[in-house]
Order: sequence, then structure tokens, then C-alpha cells
Amino acid sequence: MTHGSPFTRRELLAAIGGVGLLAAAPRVAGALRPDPGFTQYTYAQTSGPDLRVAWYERYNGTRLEESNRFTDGGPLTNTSDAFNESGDAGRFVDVTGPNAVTAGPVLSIPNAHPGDEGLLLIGLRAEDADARAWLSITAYDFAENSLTEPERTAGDTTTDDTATDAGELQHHVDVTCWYDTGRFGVGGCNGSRDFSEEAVVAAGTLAEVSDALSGGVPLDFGLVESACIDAGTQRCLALRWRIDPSVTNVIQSDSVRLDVAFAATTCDDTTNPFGGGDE
Amino acid sequence: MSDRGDGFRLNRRRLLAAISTVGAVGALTGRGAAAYLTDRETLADNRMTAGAVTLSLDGLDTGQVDLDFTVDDYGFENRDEETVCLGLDDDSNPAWVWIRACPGDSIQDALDARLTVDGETAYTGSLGGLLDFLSGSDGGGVLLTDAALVGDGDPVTPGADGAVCLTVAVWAPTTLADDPDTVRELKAASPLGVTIDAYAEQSRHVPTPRRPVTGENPSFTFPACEPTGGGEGDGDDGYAISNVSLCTSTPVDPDAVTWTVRDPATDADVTGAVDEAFVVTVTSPVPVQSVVVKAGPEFRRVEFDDATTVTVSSTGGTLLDVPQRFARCACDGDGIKLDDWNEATGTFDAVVALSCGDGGGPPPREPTADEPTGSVLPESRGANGDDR
Repeated sequence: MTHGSPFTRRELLAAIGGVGLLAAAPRVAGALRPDPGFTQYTYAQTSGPDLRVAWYERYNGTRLEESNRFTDGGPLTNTSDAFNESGDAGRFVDVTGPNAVTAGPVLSIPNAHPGDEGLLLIGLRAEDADARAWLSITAYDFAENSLTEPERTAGDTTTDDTATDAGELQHHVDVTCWYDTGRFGVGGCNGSRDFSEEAVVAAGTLAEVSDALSGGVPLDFGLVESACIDAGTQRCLALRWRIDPSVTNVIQSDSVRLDVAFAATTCDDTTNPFGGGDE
Repeated sequence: MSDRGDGFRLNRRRLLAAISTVGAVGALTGRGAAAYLTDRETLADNRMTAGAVTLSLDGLDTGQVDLDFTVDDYGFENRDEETVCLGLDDDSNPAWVWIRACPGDSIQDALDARLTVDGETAYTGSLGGLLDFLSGSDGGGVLLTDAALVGDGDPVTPGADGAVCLTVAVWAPTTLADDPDTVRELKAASPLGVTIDAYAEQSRHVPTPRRPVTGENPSFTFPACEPTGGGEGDGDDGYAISNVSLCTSTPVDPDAVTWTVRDPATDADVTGAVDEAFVVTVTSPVPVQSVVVKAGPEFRRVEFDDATTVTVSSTGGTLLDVPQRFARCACDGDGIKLDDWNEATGTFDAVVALSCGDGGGPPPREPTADEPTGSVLPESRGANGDDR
């Protein structure tokens, strides 16, 4: 300790402890809500996992979105060939971090009806190094957005949009999220659940799926007995949603927001980067 | 383990030390979880909002509208017109819209009516027939854009442009000039209320409109129409008696006739005033051959074998197929008529002597061709006081 320093030893230790607390705080926030600002560690770029994504979105049978538009490729379709070719051609993209494309919301359904259904097919590519992939789905900002007359007639009385469970939409969107791996690696990435694709990440209402997945879960694509995605390959995760035709007026004008976050860790890392339970 | 290499020799201690170092590196890495190599990609800010289907009736967010036709507003020359515009709010989605009206008091059959949809005539006939038409045979109503309502069969589009305006015109046919009984009933029933229920259902995923009746629409069915009853009562007991004609062989002094109202359930004399009469006992000074009872729009004849005390009900006897003005002279010869039941006082307003023999018997029946037929015409038939 330099003579004349204004710090006593105890003060210095306290200051170091404070730094530790500051560092810990963003981690807690990140665990509650995937923080888009929390991205890759640049010093690990060369040897660490680098996750890239591609996606294809369909709504009531019509393609709305696909990610090859960012790389001037032909439209991505719901086939494993299309995802593999896009991956090999370097068309998978970053959506978070300095090299991110301006993806905007991938899923944007402003006028959902009972009977609607949609599909979000997400390709995950481990670039350069093997990677273990983690998924977090968080639904939030549930809102009633005032009551329409048919909602009131249907017995809907909730008007407090500051409530954590405002509105009813999150309880009436049925979500299934499964490993779209196909059978023996054939027929994956097609968004249609083959009977052999038994492994489901989560299924239930959007609220239930969010409860189950917001803390993050490891993804295990189950190929060659390894949970990891090999470097230079891609896997597909399918997320299908549907509003049953029997759903009534209580959902009218209700809204939800939704984050779908992926994290990649090294294969030997079993610590949940989203702060939930570990592998 | 070889020690024959070119100076790269590991003894056991060194090997253990090396293993230990690896272990220490691993432990350090594990401790600093935040320092693990990770990458994250977030598809953020995704949003889903449910749409809406909201009806608009004359600009109000409601599913029901009442139209009232007042006797003061219609006549032989005057039409009472009521217009209602049905549509969807601006922020609604396209929808199939169904409307339904219930048949009401049968007195509505006595009025003529016309329905125009956005200026085109969709129906001409009696008001009762119009309500039957709008009710649909199964109570499921009519699709607002149905061809029967001069529509294109497509879903209604949101906003004022997509709204459909229905105009119901009601007037009295000139034949009512000879039928004071029916006119009295119309006055008593005024205002005639017509309730139109509307139901809208999203058209997305519903390529074919589903009639809102049981078995065809799992989401909604119109509530059943109230059974049509007599007068302004609750309808549960059927029509109440409005007048009673006693047919006798000789003239009767009206002042000598007495009558009492009986309770149809207990057959006891009703004490005090009642607003409706269903069973009446009449005592006449001269023998009665038959009695004609008018209840609602129905005439019934009951035969008696020269009795002087007769009890008649609103439902007994033989139903007669006669025009409304028949009650002016329901007997072939002499008789007496307890006329015009007054709900307010609980009495017949008048007891009058009948003498129909001189007049050639009962008036001839109305030619039925002039009566409302309830037919659906593509164009206005332009009759009966059309004011164009």
C-alpha cells in the first residue's frame, strides 16, 4: 500500500466487494429477462461458441418471414435441405451483438383470431466450434387493452393492465416446441411434427410454456448421443402456436409479447446461462 | 511410459503435478461461471394481439335494437318508418352478421309492412309475415348480406361503408276501415314493439356462414323466441276473451243479461276486477242457441241447447275460419253481444243487442286475395297506400 493512500485496507476490500456486486446485478437482471445487450464475449470469439440463427415463419399457411432475406439468398423454406444449404452458404445470421442484422420482431401477429395457427422454425448453427444450445422463452407485457363489448358480455371483467397476468390471450394460445430433427436426420426442419419426433421441449399454453422455459433449458437434439451441435452444422427447433376455434371473446384485443432467446455454451459447460436450472 | 524420448521425460511426480495443474485450471474455469464462453441470440419483441369483432348498431356497440310502431304514426295514408343501420366497428374484423326478429302478437298480421335494405325492397307483406321472415323457419334469423336481403352473400366489411341499413315501413291496409274490432286491438297493442337481435361472427376460418341455431353453430345460438300470446299479457294462458256474442231465437234486452268472470284454474267466480278474462259465465233471460267467442284473432262457436246460463272459455268450441270483422254480427238472427273487454276496468265496455237477420245475415267473408300474403317480392308491389 502506497504511503499516503486515502484508502485503508478495509475500504479497498469494500470497494472490491462493490465491484463484485455491480457485476452480479446485471446477471440477475439477465436471468429474469434475456437481455439483448448481453452478448458474446469478444475475447472468446476465436475459440468460443458462435451461435447463428435462421428462421422461417408461417401464419395460417402463408409464409410471412424468413431470414435469408438478410443475406440475399433465395427464400428459406421449411425443409432440412433449405436450412442445410443456407447454413453451408453462410446465410445464418447473428440477431444480437455487433454483427447483428436488423431482424425486428420475428413473430408479429397484430390481429389473431380463434382458429389461427402459426409456425416459427428456427435453425441453430454452431459456427466454428461445437456448442451446447440453451433456450429461453419468456412471455410478458400481458395486456387487456380495454374491454370490448363482446368481452364484457363474455364475462371478462379484468381491466388492470398493470397486473402481471392481465388479459387472457396468454392462456389461450397453445404452444408446442419440439426438436424438428426428422427421422434419422431426414425430414427435419419441416415444421410438421413426425410421430418419431417425440422429444418436446415444452407444450402447453403460452403462459405455461413461458413459466417452464423462461429460466432457460438445455437443448438436446439427441443426435449421435450428444447434446451438442457440431461445429459447422445446424439443427432445427420448431415452435408451433394455435388458438383453438372454441376460444371465446374474452381474448378480444388482448396482447402479449414474447422473447425467444438462445444461448450457446461450450459443450462441457453445463451451467445454465439464463440463470435457471443447470443441465 | 517411456523414458527413451529426446529429453522429454516425465517422472511420476511431474506427471502428478501436471495433472493437478490441469485440475486447478478446470476448477478455476468452473468457479468463474460468468467467464464461460457463451454466445447469445435473442429473437426479441415478438408480439401477438388478438383481433376483435364488434357489432355496431346505429353506431352503438350493442347486439340488439328495438323498433316501436305507434298507432298514432301509421294509418291508411301514413307509413311509420323505422330505420336501423347494422355494421361493424372500424377496428373490427370482417364478419358474418345475422339478424333475427321474433314473431309477436298475431295482431301484427293485420298491418302491412315493407322492408327495404339500403333502398331496395326485400319484403312486402304483413308485419307478422315480415317478422316470420326475419325469424327464419328455425329461429336462426337471416344473414344480413343474404340474397333474400338483397345482399351479395359476402361477409360484412368493417366501418360505415360496410353497414347495411334496414328500413321497416308499417301501415294500415284499407280493409281495416271495415274492421273496428281489429282497429281497437291495434290501438290496444300500440306501440307494437319489434326487437331485432344481431350476431356477428368472424369470417376468417369460417368460409360458410353458420346459422346461429343449435346443431349448426357451436359458438352461439339466438335465444328462443318467446311463445306468441294474446294481447299484452304474458301469453302463458293464450288469448284472452275480447267479446262474446250470444245467439238467441228472440230479441234480448241487454239490461237483463248478467255475466261473471271465472277463474279458469278453479272455476270459481273471480272477485274484483281482472285485466283479462278467459272464462265467462253469462245468464240470459231468453234461451241461447249458440255463443261465438272472440279471443285474440280467433273466433270460436259453442253450441247450446236453449240454455239460459252458459259458460264459455277462450279456447272451447269450434274454431271458425272467418274474417276479423265477423264479430260485428256473429249471429244469424237475434242475439246480444258483450263487447270490447276493457283491461283497465275489467269489464266489457258495452252489452248491445244484435239483430242481424234484416241485414242479410253475417257479412260476406273478405276476399282473401286482398289479405296480406307475406310473399317475398323483389320489387315493391306499389299498392295499399304506397306514397311514392
